Amino acid sequence: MHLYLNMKNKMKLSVLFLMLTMFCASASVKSYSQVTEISIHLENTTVKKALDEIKSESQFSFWFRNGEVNLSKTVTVNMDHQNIRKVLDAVLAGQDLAYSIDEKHIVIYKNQESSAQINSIQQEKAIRGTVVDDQGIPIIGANVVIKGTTNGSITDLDGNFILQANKGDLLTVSYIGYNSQEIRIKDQTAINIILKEDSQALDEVVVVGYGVQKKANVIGSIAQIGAEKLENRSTPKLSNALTGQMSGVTVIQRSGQPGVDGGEVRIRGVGSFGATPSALVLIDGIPGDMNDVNSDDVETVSVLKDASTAAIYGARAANGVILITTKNGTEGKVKVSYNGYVGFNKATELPQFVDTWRYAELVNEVRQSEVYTAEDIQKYKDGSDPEHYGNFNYLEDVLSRNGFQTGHDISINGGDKKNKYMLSFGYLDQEGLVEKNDYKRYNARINLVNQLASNLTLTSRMSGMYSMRNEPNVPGGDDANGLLGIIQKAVRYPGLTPSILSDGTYTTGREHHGTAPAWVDSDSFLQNPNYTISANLKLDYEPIKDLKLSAIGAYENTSIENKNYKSTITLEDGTIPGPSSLTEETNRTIYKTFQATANYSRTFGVHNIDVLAGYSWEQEDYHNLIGSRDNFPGNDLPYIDAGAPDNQTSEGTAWGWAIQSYFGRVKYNYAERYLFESTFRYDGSSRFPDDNKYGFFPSLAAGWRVSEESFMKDNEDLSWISGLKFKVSWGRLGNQNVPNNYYPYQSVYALGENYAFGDSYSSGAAINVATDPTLKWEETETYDIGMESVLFNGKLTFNASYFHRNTYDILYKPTSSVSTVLGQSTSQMNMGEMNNSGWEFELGHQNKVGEVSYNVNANLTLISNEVATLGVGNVTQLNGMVGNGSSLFIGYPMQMYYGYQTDGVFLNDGEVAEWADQTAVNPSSQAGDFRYKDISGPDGVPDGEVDPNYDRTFLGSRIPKYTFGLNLGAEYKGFDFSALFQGVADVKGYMNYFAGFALANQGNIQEWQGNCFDPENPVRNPEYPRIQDLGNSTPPNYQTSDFWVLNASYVRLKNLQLGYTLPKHITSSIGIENLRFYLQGENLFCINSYREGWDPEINGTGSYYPILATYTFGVNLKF
Amino acid sequence: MKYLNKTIIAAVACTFLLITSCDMERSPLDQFSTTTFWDSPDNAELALTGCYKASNVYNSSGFVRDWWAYNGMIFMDFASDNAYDRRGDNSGYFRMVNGTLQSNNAHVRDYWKVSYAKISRCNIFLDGMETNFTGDAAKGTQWIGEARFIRATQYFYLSQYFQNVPLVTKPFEDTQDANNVALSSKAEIVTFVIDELKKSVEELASYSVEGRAHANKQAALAFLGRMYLAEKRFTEAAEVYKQIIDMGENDIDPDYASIFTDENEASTENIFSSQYLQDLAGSALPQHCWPAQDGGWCIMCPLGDLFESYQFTDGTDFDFNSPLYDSSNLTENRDPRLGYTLITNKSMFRGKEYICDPDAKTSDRVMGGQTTQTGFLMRKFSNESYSGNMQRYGGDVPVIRYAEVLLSYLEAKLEAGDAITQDLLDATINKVRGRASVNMPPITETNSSLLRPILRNERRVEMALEGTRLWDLFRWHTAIEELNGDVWGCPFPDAVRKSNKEDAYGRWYVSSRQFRESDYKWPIPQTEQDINPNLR
Repeated sequence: MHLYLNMKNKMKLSVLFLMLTMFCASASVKSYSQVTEISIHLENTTVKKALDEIKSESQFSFWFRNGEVNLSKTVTVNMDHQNIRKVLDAVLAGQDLAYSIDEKHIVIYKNQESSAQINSIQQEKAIRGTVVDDQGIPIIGANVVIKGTTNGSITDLDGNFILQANKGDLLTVSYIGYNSQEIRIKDQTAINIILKEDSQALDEVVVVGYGVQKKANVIGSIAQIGAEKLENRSTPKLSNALTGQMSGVTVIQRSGQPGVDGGEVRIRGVGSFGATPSALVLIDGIPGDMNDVNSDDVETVSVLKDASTAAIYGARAANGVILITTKNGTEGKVKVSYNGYVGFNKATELPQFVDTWRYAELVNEVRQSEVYTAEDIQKYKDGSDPEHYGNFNYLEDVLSRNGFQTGHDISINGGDKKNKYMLSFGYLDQEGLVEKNDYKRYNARINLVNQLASNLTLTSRMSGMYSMRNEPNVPGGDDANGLLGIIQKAVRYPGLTPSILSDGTYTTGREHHGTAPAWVDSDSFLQNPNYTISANLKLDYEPIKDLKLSAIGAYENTSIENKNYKSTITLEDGTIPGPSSLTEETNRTIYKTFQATANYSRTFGVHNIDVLAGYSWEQEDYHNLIGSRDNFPGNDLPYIDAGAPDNQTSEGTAWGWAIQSYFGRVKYNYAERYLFESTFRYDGSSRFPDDNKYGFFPSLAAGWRVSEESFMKDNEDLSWISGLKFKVSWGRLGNQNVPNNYYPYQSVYALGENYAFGDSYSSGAAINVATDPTLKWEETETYDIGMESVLFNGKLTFNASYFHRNTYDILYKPTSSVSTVLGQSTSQMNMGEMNNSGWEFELGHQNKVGEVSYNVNANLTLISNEVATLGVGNVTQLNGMVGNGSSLFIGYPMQMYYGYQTDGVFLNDGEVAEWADQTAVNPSSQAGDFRYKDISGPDGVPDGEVDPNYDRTFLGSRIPKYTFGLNLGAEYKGFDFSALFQGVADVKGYMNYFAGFALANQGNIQEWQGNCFDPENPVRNPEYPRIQDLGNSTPPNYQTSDFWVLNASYVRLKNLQLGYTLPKHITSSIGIENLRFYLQGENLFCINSYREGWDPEINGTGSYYPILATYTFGVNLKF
Repeated sequence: MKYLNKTIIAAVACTFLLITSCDMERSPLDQFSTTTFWDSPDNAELALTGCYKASNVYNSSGFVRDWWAYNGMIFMDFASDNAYDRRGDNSGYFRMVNGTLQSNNAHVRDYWKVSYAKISRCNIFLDGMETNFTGDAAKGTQWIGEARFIRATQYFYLSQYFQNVPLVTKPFEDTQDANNVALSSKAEIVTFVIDELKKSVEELASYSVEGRAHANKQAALAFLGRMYLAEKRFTEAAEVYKQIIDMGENDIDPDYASIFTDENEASTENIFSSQYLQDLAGSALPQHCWPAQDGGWCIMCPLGDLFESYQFTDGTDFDFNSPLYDSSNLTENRDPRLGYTLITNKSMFRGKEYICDPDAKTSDRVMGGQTTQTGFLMRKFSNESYSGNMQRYGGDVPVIRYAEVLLSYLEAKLEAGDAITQDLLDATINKVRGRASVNMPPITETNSSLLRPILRNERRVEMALEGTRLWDLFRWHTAIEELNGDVWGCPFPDAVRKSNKEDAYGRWYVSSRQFRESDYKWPIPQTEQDINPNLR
């Protein structure tokens, strides 16, 4: 069955009939067909030409089944200002046809078709039925056939059919774009059949490397989400829209800082302790940053998780490949869609601090001296002298606002058979929590598909992005840097004074540089514009049938600038810390690639083969230039030339890399039942020495679609299994991702090791880094076994897979495993081996009860991560663990914490003597200090002494063992609801210094820390041990221990959305195809047991930007 | 259409031919390849410069535990009775000497690490000179001498604090070899230092004002002297010090304060200094050490014990009960070096009065936050007229001064049991304390056991806050006496607000220390023990 004209979405036909009925009922509004007048003059032309003419004259479109309308029949039509019905009657005269008109859509069908069926003679047993889609809309023209016979029927306008059948016959219901269904005739006389759209199950197409593939025939592990999931998610960064959506894909968002709030995407755990374990991201085949892509432009995001699918990307694919495909134009009339939202954001959590008088009291206790007199403390309490004795929260002052956030995307889409276009423009404006902090992004894109000749297609994709990040900055003279530096100092210092006095001057602050809120107010700023343009041309040529030759050329130019101005500020005592300074930096990256592929795909009977061969090269060249001056006259001229010339500096560097690759793939399947696939890639990289430049990366995969076997297809008892597939794959992948190191094997005398001899500053050089001249790729071997199932006609889907990834020759800088006696830092070496193994489960259910349709999708990933060997640094520690004694041990996960176990604190000094001797850890233990556990000793049993060699142990890892997501969705009469819960479990976090420790280097005290050990009222497990003045060091109580290593598990309501789509009969009357309003909340709440005031995804020392909760109102509009 | 088709195919084919290969051979664009570096003999000088620079950082408020970086050097006095680290009792320096030194002490680890980083550069340089250098022989000899000197001094420091350490004298063939090194005994290290310094004395040129930034013969001799003093080989020590004196290139500068600043850093008294250059290779000493009212961080807080070691101008020892003591003007009637070295309460600094008394409302009030914890700050090394970037100050910091040579010479003679004559005193200690800007009464004590404490105090006062105090206490083995008990700051007898410990003289209480016998030897860093069992 073939449909003529703009029939992309099969849904339309049924929607249209539904609307037709509605229109009959409410004829009060004059429709397009009633008001439109057509003039047409054609002599001896074909019906086809006549219909085309009407189409071009009007906005009408025609829908009919091939063969039913004789298009080549000759007609003559001469009409002026006539109603469409009159015109059509003339054009279709002489054929036994009827038509119906819905607004601008005209369906032509064979006259008497349905009634003929209804009136057919009833023999045997008459089976009546209705075929509808999962929205309950009738499917017109579905084939209903008794299997093994030619006895069949076609559904009518209401989706009804009737035919004669015997009990026990198997009824096959099929319709293009939908999954076929088979129903055994029992005693029933009426059957209601719901057909599922194929995009939701078996016939879905997924994007794979260098092509697309029917999902049912995919052997590897691929997760894909489509535009519909992304369009409605008003998240500034694409990476964050992926959170919780796919099994095996973990997105951790460590910051809410506008412009740099993209999540860290990890596929199937953390694959390496050496090279960066990030996935290769390809945007329309070209490596790029997914966070620069406008989410609305994205058609699909496809994640290649296992070796068999990823191996075609060879040396960069070890940690998965993310393929982002942007939308193309579709044939048909112009479609415009607009998605927009407005909203605001606020921090999910903020730490609270003790009041200043409490701070003062605690400081006096700690110092055992009257740092603050009773009089001072009284003033802090009563607020009688607020200019000098305040109770401020600098952090809240800095993060003072609810950031306004808005995004608008418009796309225009259309074309004819030969030329299709998609144009889009996106605008995003995201304000931060801090004044003067915002991020604006403009995206523009043109995607064109031009059929140059019948066998030659040109696809052009051009996009441009400009973004600008504005932030307040630290003034000159302070050692902090940028916005995070401001926040860190706001976390650090107690709010003893206001920041700005009533006379407008800034208070001095702790370091005599003013306070953090004053810095936000100052003239200091940072600007970070980013300009990216890229062009991507693809030519597809089919010299003979089934053979497709493609060539892709792409070019991308990225310019990132940084302008960092640190102003002078005047403090209350008249001093001006400083000087002011300006640093401007430009970074330019030019990326070029050429790729060519040949693809031969053919079916011989039940044998389907597909062969791909390809070649590609890529190269990137980078260049930067940094200039700075200081001592600017005032703060009004923050441009380099205005600064004092005597202290100007300039710096600059450049680097480049290239990759050249050959690759191929063979796919074979037997009757879509037995599936085989093998790929290889031969990759050469400039980053490796001649002998090791090229690496070979093969993969093999096999699959078995059990559900295609006749023993299942014909077995009535198993008819609930619509699809069942088993698959197994093996492959070897590479990783060459060594950030900021483009020549990792080359031993060099680095310049810049300069020294001032007398009055001259002399150039110097040194070999700072020990390199490995025989460096090569890091390699990962992956095994994958899995099953996929579709049950109960798509109502339930369940997938499971087990994977094992063995990474070896890890490109690792063994800094903490090599003795500092070496005297140099180390570059990447191929050393170490680790394993990631785990399970992925996906469970989906969708159904419709009454008018409520709902879906539940859950995914769960279990990963265990284990170091197999370190290469260098496999040292047997005295406690028997083998590793470098700090961060990596054989048999334990990476990113681990190694330290002591505690058992509360000493209640009084007397208890110290009763406890194991812990002088090796804490030479002067006292009341309120941790009691470290004596775990072991030289004989493998507790020896009565707590000692770093025997009593430190594994305390957990930052890598989550469990990652899960739960998507709930429901629809009822135009209302839609969705909720996404997402979380991780069995994971640890750690916060230290200003974020975790009280009085760290003159720092503040958080409320929970204020409930510290109180000698007057001692408890065994206080919220905080004996409070101490830390300086910049970590005294014995602050050694890594299970007290400081925190449970960072959480469950989060990541996204909640409530939408309402206006009924079509209202919207279509004003020319709108679809109009939906929605309310959305992102990061609404989080259940966790992390430190009070801190999000469990935050680690570190307080130099952070809070995770944001975002509340938005949005509109999706299509016309 | 057919025509177009062919054109496109032809174009694609041509493009193919043109671009089927790309440049896969890439090399760093702004660094020398190791293989070609030695092709130019002048490059040797670049590598030598790299040995001097080593881990030092410029124009940064960061701390480097390099023995010669200004902060790595002078902050060593935090681990002594001279000064206190404003960052408190948990400061890594304070913990070296308060009875809580452990193998995870970050500062101890850093000194170890930075020493070996410098040694590594010297090893690579010396190895390269030996095998690849084809340039001017005379130049080559001097350069080798400089690197040899730098390397020997690092082992000198290691031998004094860690005692037994791995002796690495060649570049490592393989990275992993560094994990298998064994400890050498202190005696082996000392022998190596002495041999190497003797060689470098032969190789190096004599001191000159122009060449002062480079290692010179006198500097090598002075370190040899230090080594002999530490080894109690006093006769040999006296000999090498005498050599320096006899060379006559250096002299005591009449202006004590100026030689520690960029104004007079080229004084011949400074035999060898750590070099800084304003704005280009600046030090953050003003940032770290200046008062809060000047935007500084007040990290260097001299102690009352140092304050009390300065004599009265009449040559008598300090005494709170002396009529010469004036609690409202702490530098009155005192050895002028007190005022040159310390910023005291109510004294002027950079044209402003510095007020740190506990009752004051100033930003510098003692213990008011990032302010002095003792009531004193450091004036030494500061050019008060400097108004540039506080992290880019250009003053050099002397490593070896001629004053030390004279005092060490006297000490060597004294400890060797040689007769002490007035001439000897006048040529050494009295020359130091008699310089115009100091002008303290001459010492006349010739009885060696009575002279010893006088000389040791003179050495302390003269070289205060130059980072040598702990070493002196170690080699005299007096740390256990000097670094035990309460630590006091400035006397504020009239203040209403008191520190939490009573003191007869109103001194501000700072902390207390319990130096242990085991603290004379620093532990090998825990992280090193973890990786290399030979070091446990």
